[in-house]
Amino acid sequence: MIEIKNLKMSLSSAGRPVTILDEINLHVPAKEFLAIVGPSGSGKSTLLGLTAGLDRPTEGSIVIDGTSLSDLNEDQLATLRREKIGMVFQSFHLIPTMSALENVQIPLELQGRDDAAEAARTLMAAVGLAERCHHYPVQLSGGEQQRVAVARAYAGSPALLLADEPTGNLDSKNGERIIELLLKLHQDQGNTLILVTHDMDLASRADRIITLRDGKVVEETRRP
Amino acid sequence: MGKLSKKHAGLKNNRFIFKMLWREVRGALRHFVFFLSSIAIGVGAIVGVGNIAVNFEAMTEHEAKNLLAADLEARLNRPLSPEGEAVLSELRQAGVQSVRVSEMVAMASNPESTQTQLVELKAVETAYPFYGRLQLDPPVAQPFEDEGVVFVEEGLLLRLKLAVGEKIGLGDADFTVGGVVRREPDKVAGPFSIGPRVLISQEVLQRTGLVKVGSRVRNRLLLKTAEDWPLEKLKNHLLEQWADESVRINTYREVRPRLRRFLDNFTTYLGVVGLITLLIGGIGVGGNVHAFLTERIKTIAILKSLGTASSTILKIYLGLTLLLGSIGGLIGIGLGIGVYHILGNLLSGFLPPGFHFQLSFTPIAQGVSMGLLTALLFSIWPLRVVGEVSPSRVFRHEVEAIPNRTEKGRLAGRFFLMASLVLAWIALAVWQADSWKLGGSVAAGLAVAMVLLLLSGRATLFLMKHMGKPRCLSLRYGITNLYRPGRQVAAILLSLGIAVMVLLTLKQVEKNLMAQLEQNIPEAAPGLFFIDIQSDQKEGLMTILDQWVLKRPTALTPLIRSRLDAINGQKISEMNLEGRRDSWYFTREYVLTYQEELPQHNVVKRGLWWDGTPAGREEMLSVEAEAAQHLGIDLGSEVRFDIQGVPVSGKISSVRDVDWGSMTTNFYFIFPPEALAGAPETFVATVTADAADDHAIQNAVIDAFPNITIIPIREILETISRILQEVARTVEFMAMLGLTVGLVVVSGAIAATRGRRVHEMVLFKILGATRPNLMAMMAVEYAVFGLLAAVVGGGLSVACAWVVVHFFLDIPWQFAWRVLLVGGLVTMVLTVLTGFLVTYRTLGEKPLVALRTE
Repeated sequence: MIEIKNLKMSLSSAGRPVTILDEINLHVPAKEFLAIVGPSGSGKSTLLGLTAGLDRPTEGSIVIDGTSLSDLNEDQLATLRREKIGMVFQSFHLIPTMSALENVQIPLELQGRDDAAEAARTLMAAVGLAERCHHYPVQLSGGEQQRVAVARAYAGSPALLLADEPTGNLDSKNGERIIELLLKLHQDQGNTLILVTHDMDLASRADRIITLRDGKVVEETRRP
Repeated sequence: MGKLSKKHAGLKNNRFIFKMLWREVRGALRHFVFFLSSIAIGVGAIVGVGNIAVNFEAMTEHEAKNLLAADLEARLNRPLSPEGEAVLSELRQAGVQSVRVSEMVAMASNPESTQTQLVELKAVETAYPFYGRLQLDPPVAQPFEDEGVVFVEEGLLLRLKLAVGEKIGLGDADFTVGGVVRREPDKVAGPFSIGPRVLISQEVLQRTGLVKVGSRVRNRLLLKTAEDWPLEKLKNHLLEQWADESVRINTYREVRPRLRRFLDNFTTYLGVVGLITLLIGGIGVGGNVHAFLTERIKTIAILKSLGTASSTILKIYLGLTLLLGSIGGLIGIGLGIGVYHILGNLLSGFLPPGFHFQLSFTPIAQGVSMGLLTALLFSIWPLRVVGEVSPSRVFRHEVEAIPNRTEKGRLAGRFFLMASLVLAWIALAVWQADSWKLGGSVAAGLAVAMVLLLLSGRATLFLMKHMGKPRCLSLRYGITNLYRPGRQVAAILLSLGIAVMVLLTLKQVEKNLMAQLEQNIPEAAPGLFFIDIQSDQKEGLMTILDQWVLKRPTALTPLIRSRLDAINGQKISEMNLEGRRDSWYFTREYVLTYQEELPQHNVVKRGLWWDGTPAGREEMLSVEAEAAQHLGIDLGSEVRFDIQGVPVSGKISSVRDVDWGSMTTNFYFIFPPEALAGAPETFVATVTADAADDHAIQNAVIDAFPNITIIPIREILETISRILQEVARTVEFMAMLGLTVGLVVVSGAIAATRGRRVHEMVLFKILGATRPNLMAMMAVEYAVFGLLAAVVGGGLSVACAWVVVHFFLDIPWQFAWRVLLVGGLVTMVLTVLTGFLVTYRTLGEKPLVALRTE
């Protein structure tokens, strides 16, 4: 599914280059549940972002389903995400000026689905928010917002789901609920799930865990 | 707290306010680009127009002095008494200068050929003229010192077959022609002069022996003020001292030629357009301050939770507004000087040669204070929320940070605040328009326009929301984007809508005016108009005209001068016309004509024209509808005229509608030819030749028939058309300033949502939207804004233009659909371009970078 080779990412901070990712090599087979752990600033989120094509690496390549991201322009990357990738963020990132339902509808509409509204409603029901379709994000609690975000991430039935600390802003009860939801959908839809987290308990539920430190993979453990 | 410590606390508080003010300015100047430009352009418009107005005022004053050739004129019906003369000589000793002017009609002759010509003689003294220029050809330094020399109009030389330097006979003596009078300041121009001018000194007049007991001499005294004798003092003194003399006193201020009135009105209306520009800028300021405060809600909440009083915070932001208003005003002065130069160039045709524009302080001061007041007025409304922000905001984050929930008590307060702001703005409008009526009606008109714009905007958004969603993604998102929270729809719609309304109103009025003018100048418009053609000159004139190829055969129209004598047997002289506003219709001189055919531009409304009527024709009479109404006559009424003592009467047999705007000779009363046989008549003729031949034709006709007066219509029409175009261009320029501010406000409103837009776009990208998707959404959103403003503003402009055309210009209304169409399209395109200009950079944001910087 995903083939990452010699990935390097440097940013300049105060005029000096800072290496965020260094020589990352990673193979993620289809349907795997991969957890990425590591301390703050170790490059987890950047790795996830680069995988989604949200920025360009300084060096190296990312190939998803045989397509090299470096061969694609901005708009082709967007099309790729539309078709194959769903994302969940720590701070939810719902569009604040749109209702919950509209947020879920967007990926469906971008795919040109005629039944976007109905499909989105079904997803809202699946995450237990059928009654809150017309609420705006600010009118929802953090847990509810993240459930909308999960519904949105799954809306396009992506082959790859990227979750960046999805429980980081939630209390443990709500966090647990989100994880259950993510894993259930992962199993139901049979997609590849990459989860960035601090939480080792959560990571231990993955098929495989890689640990990043200072932009390098320092450890890799596979669930027996 | 003791008095001292209170004072101390107050000082500390002030220091805090200034410090905070400085921190805000330092951090947020970039945010206020739109605030500054809105105010600057508005102030620029007012400063520019104000300076033009002041200069035109000075120019017309200068012109008025020229028209009088003096500061003050006294018309004497009889010579001054010795006491009156004593008053004058006292004034002379005090430095007041005077010139005696005597005018009379006399006969001039060529001593060689004994040819004669009636002339208008004017005798002056050496100090003539005090103002304006007497242009003699060849120039003479002291024209009225030599007692043997006279100056004449060129026409006289032509008619008497004389040249400069030759002898001319006036009264008892012969004089030398010293030169040709090319320009004479206080000559009232008019097509009906008795004869050419002969300009002489008072001494020459004495030598002619023309002034005898009983001769009709008009005497005038021209006076020039002295330091101790300013105009009003001089006038009052003379009115008092000369109370028993038979004099009429006029100062140059009372000479108000049409141009002056026109320019007065014109600059006032330009000022109103400037005012509207400032209003649009004010809307921008309001939007800008609102957006800024929305960003600052958290800061305000934190300051409050740290114990800062609302009033202190309010002072910080009011101070900020005043500071920005002042900076905007200063930039506006610079812009205003530019506007003033552009207007000056556009209106150069109105300026007499040698007149130089000068900058003046008062309009600059007025413009800047209006800018400052506008900034303040429009900031106060959004600033009210400073008091409403709760410190608990520190813990919340909301999209629409400005509170919407309003308690009842607050509602009353808000209403009161809004009402006072509106009243204050009306006061500003009255100040700028310098008239309660105009300022008030402009303010009221704008208020109606704003309410309509907002209502129709709301209605459209409501309809769009509930109409069912279009299938096309970009279309749907573009449209739904409009009614999302925090989009500043009101500011955009108001500013753009008003700008479009003003611009399109002016454009439509201009189109209607120009259409009217063009309608009246047909392809083969008459170039020359001849009047006072005598019966025995008809054939000779036609023979002369035969030498040229004319575009249209020349028709001679007979004119017979008359007065109304009686209507239905009742003598006019016995009617009681006192207090009737239309008494003029009864007492005026009527120029009658006789015609076989119904003239062009005439339509019989009631009754029948006489063609084909065999019997009783000589009793028939046709009257123009409006005159008939004022005179109270209709079909069958008997009307009697007095034609040089001979009564001629007719029965009204038709009532006509006449198009007075057509550039042809029109008549209130028309008789059939046989009814006026033998009456003393002269003829007028319109000659339509090639423009290049006009001059030659004029010379040939003058040469043969010196008594015929020629009016060059083509020149007059060209001048009118040129002036109209200058006016139109000036007004358009001012309206474009309004549109520019409108677009600045649109940019500001869009820029205010930039942060939110970047966030949304990044999320859209993450969800798989391509740049073309996003661009299409933006285009739809901005185009709908433009369309809304164009439709509502355009609709209102049709109403405004119709009112102006119908009620003020009183010309037929033509629906200028092309102006509306083009105006609407241009508005949409400009709005989309402006929107893109402000947001195009957000398209290129890399999602990860944007998320990271959040």
